Formats: sequence, structure tokens, C-alpha cells
Amino acid sequence: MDQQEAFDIEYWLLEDAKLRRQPPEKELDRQIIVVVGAGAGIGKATAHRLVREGAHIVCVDLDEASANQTAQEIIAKYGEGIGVAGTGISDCGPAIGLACDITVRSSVQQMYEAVMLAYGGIDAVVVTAGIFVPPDKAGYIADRLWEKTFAINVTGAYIVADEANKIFTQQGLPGAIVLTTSANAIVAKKGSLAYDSSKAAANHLVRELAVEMAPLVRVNAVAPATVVRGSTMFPRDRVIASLTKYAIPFSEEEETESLREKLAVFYAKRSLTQLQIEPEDQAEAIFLLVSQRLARTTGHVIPVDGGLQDGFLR
Amino acid sequence: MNKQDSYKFVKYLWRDAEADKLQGVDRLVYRSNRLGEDLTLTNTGGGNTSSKLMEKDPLTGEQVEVLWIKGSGGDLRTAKRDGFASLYLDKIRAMKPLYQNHPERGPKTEIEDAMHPMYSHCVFNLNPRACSIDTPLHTLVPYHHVDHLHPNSVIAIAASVNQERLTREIYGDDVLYVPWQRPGFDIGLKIEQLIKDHPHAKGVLLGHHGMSSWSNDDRTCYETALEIIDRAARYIEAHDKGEKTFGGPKYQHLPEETRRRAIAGLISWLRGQVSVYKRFVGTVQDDEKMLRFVNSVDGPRLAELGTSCPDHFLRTKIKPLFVDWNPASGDLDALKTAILAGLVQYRKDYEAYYNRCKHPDSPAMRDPNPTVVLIPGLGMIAWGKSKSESRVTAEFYNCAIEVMRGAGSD
Ligand SMILES: NC(=O)c1ccc[n+]([C@@H]2O[C@H](COP(=O)([O-])OP(=O)(O)OC[C@H]3O[C@@H](n4cnc5c(N)ncnc54)[C@H](O)[C@@H]3O)[C@@H](O)[C@H]2O)c1
Ligand SMILES: [Zn+2]
Repeated sequence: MDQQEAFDIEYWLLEDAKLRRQPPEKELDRQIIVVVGAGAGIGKATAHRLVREGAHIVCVDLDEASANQTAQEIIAKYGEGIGVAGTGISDCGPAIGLACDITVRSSVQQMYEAVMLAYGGIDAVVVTAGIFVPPDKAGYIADRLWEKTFAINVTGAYIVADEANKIFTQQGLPGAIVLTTSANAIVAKKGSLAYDSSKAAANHLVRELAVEMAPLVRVNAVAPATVVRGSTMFPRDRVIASLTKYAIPFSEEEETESLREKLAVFYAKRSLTQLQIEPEDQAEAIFLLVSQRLARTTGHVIPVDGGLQDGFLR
Repeated sequence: MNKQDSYKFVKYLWRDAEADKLQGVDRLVYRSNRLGEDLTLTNTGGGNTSSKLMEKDPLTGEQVEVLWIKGSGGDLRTAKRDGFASLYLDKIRAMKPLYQNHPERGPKTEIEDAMHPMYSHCVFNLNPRACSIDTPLHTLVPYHHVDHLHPNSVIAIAASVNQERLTREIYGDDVLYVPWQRPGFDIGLKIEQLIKDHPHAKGVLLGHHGMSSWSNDDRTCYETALEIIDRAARYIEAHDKGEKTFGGPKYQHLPEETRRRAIAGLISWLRGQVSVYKRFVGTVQDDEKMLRFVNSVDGPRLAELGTSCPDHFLRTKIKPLFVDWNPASGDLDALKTAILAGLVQYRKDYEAYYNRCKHPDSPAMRDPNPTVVLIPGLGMIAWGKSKSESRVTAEFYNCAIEVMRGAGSD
């Protein structure tokens, strides 16, 4: 077939009209976003929030089943799409689930390798994976648990960002990283020494990475407080311990959900806005940081905590 | 022998027990989905189906003839009822004199492009679905049911140098032949005339494009489509070149592990290179069929000749970037250098092609970057604006390779 004939098809006005009939592109269309911690809580809400803006979502979690579960929810809602091609993982749809332990560099490398074969690149990485280890009955935290806390909350986030940086640099396209720290990073409390210290380190990690990865990649974080619903960070024991600590009346027979609700209400009352904080509130802030809406912001930690006077910077 | 056992390359998926539970347009949906389900029959988004059915007019309450036809932009495999446009048959038939009375007719004339918007005046029952660009063909074929498909095997015949002779050889008088012409009224009228002259014909082979079948019985229409495609595939098999396909191998396949490593290490860099204007999402294809092509002697020459299915140009562009690299060297830095050089040349070629072929009213030049990149030893990386779109791009180039294989087997 000769080139003129080919051109007359490629640039046929009727075909062009068909292209123009397509809906306008969404904010995160054409993007591939890795959400580490997507199996539960804030990460899961973030995955669902970002896909709504058109992004492809790589759902990553230590727990493979829950990562896959989030990916499946997305596919069920948005469909697999059309087009039958792609070898191995590359035949995937708008989301995939991958297992990864962020404390192990080789595991993170394998995860990104799978992302490359599935989608060909990355545009943003969100890390919500984190851990809270309560001290023992005597209020003491074992060295092993201290290490684990830092391994996940600080070193893990660093490894995920560091490996992403290699890809961002190769790719040469502007990108974004969003970590998840905590209100506790700047508010000292009794009973969460390891966690709070790790989150304080994570706050500064955000700033260091922002410097390191500038100008190509923006690095920011959200600092949540007291997101009880949907979080695996509030198991029954921890909720009961907190209710006891704050002298909130409850009965041992109550369902966990009802206990959680009590705690959430208490936390809300303690904040300036007096509103409960949901995973979706964190996801919204993460979306802003990933998108072009906050394209001039890097190296910052945005609190989404309902307004905690204790957390105001001096 | 049962009808369903007589096919070798296509799947017979029609079940009377299911179809007979359905009526009217639901049977058309059923037929379309069965056709779309088998990728040897048509590509994603390609092809269309129609039925001319009696419906109750919402205004007069009278029975009227309605053409139900797959909507523009839809896909046979996944189409549901709302994927079909519906048009008053008497109105769309009345469009014929409008076209015929125009002094200057034929493909690419003003009146050709002016006809399509006219279909909006013919919509039955306020159905918002826009009808396919192939609507004239479906209207003018004087049978109740028409299937139009883009099967690799048929396109291989239809894109070969001896397409007309091969059509005769394979189908005798059963199937008509028309040379390539873009869809529209003119080609519809040509086929209408051919059917008048050859009333026993069951279908037509469309040069560089695909085929159509027709019948007053929907299952027969489906079976005829399968038969036309299967006969083309049998012909190709009988003439298969085996080891000598695509001129035989030039390079050895790299082991899977090595291949995947190399692609994973390279692809984000490539994405950055092709995403200068807009970001793309990739799909990797490194199965046996793809590797045979990218590692072959004739691969580069065939790729340069370009895709022969006009249907695919919007996704695959007229040709892929075939990277000049020796995989046996394993030198990935040399590969990057080769890709960079290839990209520069590709963009130049594309711009030159645009400037040479453009018309005063042509849309502005689109992104000059390749959407299909072929690398010896490694396979194909295809790009699209979403994962779904990049899979379509990859699928279309898989089709192109099958077509080249078939077209070369004369
Ligand atoms: N929920 C809150 O009230 C709250 C408050 C402040 C800060 N945060 C922070 O927000 C983030 C998310 O909290 P959440 O409530 O959604 O927690 P969550 O426990 O519900 O979810 C965290 C997810 O991270 C995964 N994960 C844990 N270790 C991992 C590892 N090594 N590798 C990969 N994945 C791992 C878990 O499997 C889990 O699915 C955490 O960093 C947490 O510290 C939460
Ligand atoms: Zn067609």
C-alpha cells in the first residue's frame, strides 16, 4: 500500500473526528503509580483514589493476597480494557498486585523489575507501609522490635525511594514520591518511643531525599493522625490499651468495631476540627502531592490530623 | 460430518441452545460476541456486524425495518446491546440517490465524507450510539445479516501481490473480490453491483482490509465467515515456509532470563525517549512468534515496508522502529546507541511522510515517535496512552506479523 493512501487513512477527517469524540484526558492518565502498602488502610484508599484520576496502579504489600485483592477491586470496577497481547505479566490490566518486603533491597528490585515488564516505567511512588510496635507491659521495647520499626518506617521507605530514583533518572521524566510519616514525628508521647523516633527520622528522610532527587523528582509526605477505620494498626489490644489510657468507658464484650468507633470519636474531639479522620482524607492529600496541583512543593510534610495544637511547629 | 468439526483454524462457538433463547438484536449481540471471542477471526475493535430487523416504531406503532449495526469505536468481543447503533432502513436506503446524484463521486470526494454525518438523520428510537464507518456496506448488501471482519489469514491473502488471483484460487466463485478502497458509499455500491452480477456469492474479500459474509439466516452468516477465514488459513498452512519463514533466522533467541533482565533494565529509558510529548505506557511481547520475526533475516526489510492494514495505522503508525543491533554481542550500551540513532531517523521519516502527504485541511502532525519498537533478541515493546491501548498496539503488530507470514507464503 502506498504512503499517500496510508496517510489518507491515518489523517482521515472521519478518524480524526472519532479521536476528538473521546473524553478529555484525566489528571493522572498515562501515569504508572506504585503504592507500597496498598493492601490495607491508607494505601488501599490511595490506590482507589489515584486510579479514579486515570493512573495505573501497582499495588504492593508484604501481604501478597491483600495487594492482589486491592488490584482485583480496581479491575472489577474499571475493567481489564481491550487489546489482547503482552507476554507474561505484560498482559495485565489497569492494576496489578505484587508482593514485596521493603526492608530487603533485592525484594524491592524484583518488584520494580516486574513493574517495568508490566508497564514500562513509573511516574510516582507512594509509600504507606509502616509498622507500630507497642512496648511490652513494662513499657519497654526490645532491641529487635526497635530495629524492625526503623527497618520498615525509615530504611524501607529509603530503599523504595532509592531504587525508584534509579528508574526516574534513567527515564528522565518528572516524577513524585510521597511517604507517610505521622503526627507523632513531632509530638513526643509516652508509650510510642520507637515509632515516634522512626517517624521523626522519616520526616527528615523526606527533606534529604527531596534534595538528593531534585530537580527531577519531588519528595513529600503526609503526616496522618488517628486514622482508625480500615487500618491494621489498630488491633483490638491496642484499641483497648488506648481506651484504658484515656479512661474511656467500654465493656470487654463489645465488638472491636464499636471499640474502634469510641476511640475514633475520642480522637476527633481532641482535634481542632473535631472531625474523624478517614483513610480517604489521607488519600486526598497524597493525590494532591502526586499531581501537578502541588507541583511547586517538595521536601515537605503535610499534616492531615484534624488540627492538633500539640503538633504546631514552634 | 458436523459443521463445527469441519474447521481447522477457527473455533466454532455458536450454540443453538443459547442462540435460540434470544431474539432480535440480542441474537446479533450473541453472534458478534462469538465472532469476537476467537482472535483468529478479528482484531480488537476491528470488524462489524449487522442485522436488518423488524421493530415497532415508537411514533407510529407500526412495524418498520431497522438496521442494527455495531457502533463506531466498539469491540465485537465485549460489545453489549448498547454497543449497537440502530437506523431506519428506509431512510438510509434513501441516502443512495443523494450520493449518486452528486456530480463528483468516489473515494475521498467531498460527498463521501459528507455522507457519514447524514446518518444522524436516520437514527431509530433516539439511540445515541454512532454507527460504524462501514454502514454503507451493511446497508447495500441485500441480505438480512452481514459480518465484516479483519482476520489475519484473510488479510494475508488480501495484502499479497497476487491477491485477486489467490482469491479465485482459494474460493472459486464463492467469494467476490474488490481491491482496497477506504470504507464509504462508493465501495458499498461496487459490492452491491457485484452481488447483482454474482447472486450466488456468499461473501467478499476486501483488498488489504478483510472480508465480509452475508446471509438471510444469522447462523449461516456466522458459519460462512468462519468458512472463508478457515479456507484462507488452510491455504497459508499448505504454503508455510517452516524454517525459511521470514528468510530464516539471523540471530539466536536470547534465553528468557537474559531477555527479561535486559528489557527491565532498558524499558524505562526507552519510555523517557518516546514520551517527549506525552507519556506512554508499555507492553512487552517476547513470545516465540515475535522472537522468530525480530531475529529473522527479512524482519528489518519487512518492517520497513510498513503495516498493510489501514485499520491499524492510528495505533501502530505506518511502520515500527526496527533497531539495528546484534543480540549476540550482549552489549546494552550499543543497544541504546542504536535505539537513539533509530529514533532520530524515525522522527525525521515521519515528519517527511507527513509533509509529503498532507492536504491543506489535514489535522496537525501527530507525535512523531514510534509506538512499536522491535529489538532483535529481545522482542517487541509497544506503546499506548494506557495499558489497554498499548495492548491494542501490540496486538495489531502481532497481527501484522501474522499477515506478513501469510503473505510471504506464496
Ligand atoms: N492509621 C493511623 O492512625 C496512622 C497515624 C499516623 C501515621 N500512620 C502511618 O500511615 C501509614 C499507613 O497506615 P495504615 O493505617 O494504613 O496502616 P495499615 O497497617 O493498615 O497498612 C500498612 C500496610 O503496610 C504493609 N507493610 C507492613 N510492612 C511492610 C513491609 N515490610 N513491606 C511491604 N509492606 C509492608 C502492611 O502489610 C499493611 O498492609 C503507616 O506508615 C503509618 O505509620 C497511620
Ligand atoms: Zn473493516
